[in-house]
Amino acid sequence: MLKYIGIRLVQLIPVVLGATFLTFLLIYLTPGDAAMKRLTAQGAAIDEEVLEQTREEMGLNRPFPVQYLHWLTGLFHGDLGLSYQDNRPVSQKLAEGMGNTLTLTLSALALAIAVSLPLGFLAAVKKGSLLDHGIRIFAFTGNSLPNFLISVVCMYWFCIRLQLLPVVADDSLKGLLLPCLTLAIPLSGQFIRQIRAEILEQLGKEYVTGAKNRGIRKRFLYFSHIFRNCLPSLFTFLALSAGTLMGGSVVIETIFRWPGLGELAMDAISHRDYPVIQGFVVLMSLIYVFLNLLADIGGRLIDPRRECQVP
Amino acid sequence: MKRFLWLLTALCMAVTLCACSPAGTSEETDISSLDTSSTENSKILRLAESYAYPSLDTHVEYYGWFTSIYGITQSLYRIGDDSSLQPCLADSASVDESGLIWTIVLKEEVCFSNGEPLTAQMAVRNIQRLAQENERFYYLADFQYQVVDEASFTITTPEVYPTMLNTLASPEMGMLDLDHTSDFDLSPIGTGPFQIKSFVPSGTVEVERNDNYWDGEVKLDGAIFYYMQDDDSKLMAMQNGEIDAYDGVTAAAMELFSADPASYTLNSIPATRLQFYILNENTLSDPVRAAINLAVDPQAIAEFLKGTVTPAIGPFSPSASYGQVTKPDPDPQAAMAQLENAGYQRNANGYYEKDGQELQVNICYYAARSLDTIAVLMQEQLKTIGIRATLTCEEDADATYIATGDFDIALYCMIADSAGDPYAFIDATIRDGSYYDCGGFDDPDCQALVEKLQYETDPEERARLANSIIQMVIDDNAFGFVGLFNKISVMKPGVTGISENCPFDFYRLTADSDIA
Repeated sequence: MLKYIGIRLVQLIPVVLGATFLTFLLIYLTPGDAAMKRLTAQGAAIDEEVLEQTREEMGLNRPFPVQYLHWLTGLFHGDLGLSYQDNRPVSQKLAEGMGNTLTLTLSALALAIAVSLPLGFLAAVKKGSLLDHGIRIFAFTGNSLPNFLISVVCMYWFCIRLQLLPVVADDSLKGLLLPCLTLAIPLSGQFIRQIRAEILEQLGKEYVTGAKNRGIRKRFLYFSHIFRNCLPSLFTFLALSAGTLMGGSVVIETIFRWPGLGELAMDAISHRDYPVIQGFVVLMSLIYVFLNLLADIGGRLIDPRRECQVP
Repeated sequence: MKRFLWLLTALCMAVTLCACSPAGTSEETDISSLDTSSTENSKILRLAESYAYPSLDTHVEYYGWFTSIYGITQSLYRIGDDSSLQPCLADSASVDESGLIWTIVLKEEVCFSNGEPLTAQMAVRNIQRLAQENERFYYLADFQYQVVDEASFTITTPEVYPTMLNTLASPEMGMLDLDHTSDFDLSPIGTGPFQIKSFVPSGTVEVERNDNYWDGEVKLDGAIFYYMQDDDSKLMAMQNGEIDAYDGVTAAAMELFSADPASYTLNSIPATRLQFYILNENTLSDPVRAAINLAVDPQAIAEFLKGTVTPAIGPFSPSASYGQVTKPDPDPQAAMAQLENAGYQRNANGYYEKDGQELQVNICYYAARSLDTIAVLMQEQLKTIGIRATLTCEEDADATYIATGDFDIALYCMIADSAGDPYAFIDATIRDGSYYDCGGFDDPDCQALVEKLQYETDPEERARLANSIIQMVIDDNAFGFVGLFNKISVMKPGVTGISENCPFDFYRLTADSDIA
């Protein structure tokens, strides 16, 4: 197992290098000028001479390979550079966003699991019943509604109509509830469908028929066999969802004033803030690889029959 | 089975509650605790801001705009609601006959929030720090500064610099106590009516009354600025009574607020952000440009945008002395006559053509500041006079059509007046070789006036020159001025003095800001 983890960590190097090179190249080729964006941040016209001087100071006049190698050298020294927008260390900005995003992601995942596990189970066990149809409608609806719509509807009901929560929230528990709920609704839709499908698959297997014929109690069968056999694939699904949530909750973060990584990344992209974009890519590459690794190791621990294969 | 499911549900709920722990150390809030405005003991104004920055260092980047908005810093001069320059921390300023040596006299009573007086030495050090910290003000390093006495200093410029007072009025020129400010990013010490109470970088900002304020009574006890980017969130926070005012109200929100005048006060004034287009003189002949400008109807566009913009005649507010220009009213018949006089004839498709070549123009735009809507409306308006317009949307205008000049009509939006003077806009768009001089406009007489404007010190003559320059540009159909964005503020009844009538974005809280 340790050898496997070691190999996976070594494989991380080309992944990060490839991802950062491609991102750097794509940003470089995309029309846009970080110096211009910075100087005209408030929309006022600027002087051509100042623009040129700022480009020089920011190193934007250097050739692409020089810019990339300079950034890469910094990365190997643990220095992700300074943000073009405010000259703050990129690592500091990422760390601030990371904490908030992690909190939001874990909360949304936990809430989604809490809702979807029993509902997915029920839908599978009561397949074809009215309950099953109801749960599936909820899952389809939740999955198909766009995040911004769920956000606004939740905000309207919980804040305006029911007066339960403030619109102007902070990073306290109350501030977390609405963004967490908004993220958890579509996620629950996906989870319910996944859990239902997994359990139905297990229910059709011969060991379940055999166990039933042997008179094994239903509770034991469901918990110790069916649920356990579903866990590895659910664990993988969960890990991948966590990765998506970490970088993809920008709408939620904007609407609910949640200063996380998604908002940071979008802001950096619109301002051509290359160091922050690059730092974000490195971080997300690490997170994705780490979560994949975690899913593999978790799957192996849950089901020792599974082999950890180096891809 | 049921018990198992209940057990599973309970387990998952427990996991959720564990995960939903607070992220930071901030105190838990509830709706009732948020309602802190105008209580018996304190008057706290709560506002929503669309922008938030990581630092309060007045001299860096555009952060000075925000310390000015928060009422923490003030500059030596300020720009009035009518775009006129008014002394603020300075008592007076004068320039000698050569036009090179400015003498600035400070008001004697000015002091920082810590009680320390603002001296001439400190003012000079602030200007020098700004020159060092902010690339947009690097040229200030070329000036020479000399302290005359405690309350006055001179600035000597290498050449005549008529917009000195406008520069001194820039919000980035806010005066800080450089000796006693321990952290410029988090707690700068300024001269404004408020001082920082708490500051979350790129988040909520809280200010409290400066008890040492030098210019009279400060009516509010404090204010909170919530960073809220989303329009719907601001609208709902206002409806929920969680904020007392905000600006940048959308057309949809305006309809809601105006339907309930007892609960909300709406205020709308033309501001300084200009929507305009550049006509490419290299690809469009004089009659075609004239026809385009006669076809585009700013009034109709403003009506379509539901009051968020005011139709523009020139680039500057008509209330400013340098905004006195005229242009012909939209007239589709006259536009078509222009084309027909130039030899164009209608083809079977209803479009004009000449020598078998259909008249087509390419409108380039970027999807922000309602330019996408304007592009479509212009396309329709040009169609009515027989010009086929194609639309090209770019993500970044500066890096594409502005840089290459590859357009017939280039839509753009910028702050035309950021310091109460017309020169910055004229210098950036009309002067030969400037960044936005990408439409091929070339008029030696106009350039001579631009040169003259650069060194003219008399405000009245400056206004006259600016009006002449803009009029020449309008008459030549080099540009089309579409609209000035309105500054639309909504306030709870009783909220007053939040610079709602000031067209500039960098003023908000003053000593007169109040909530009943």
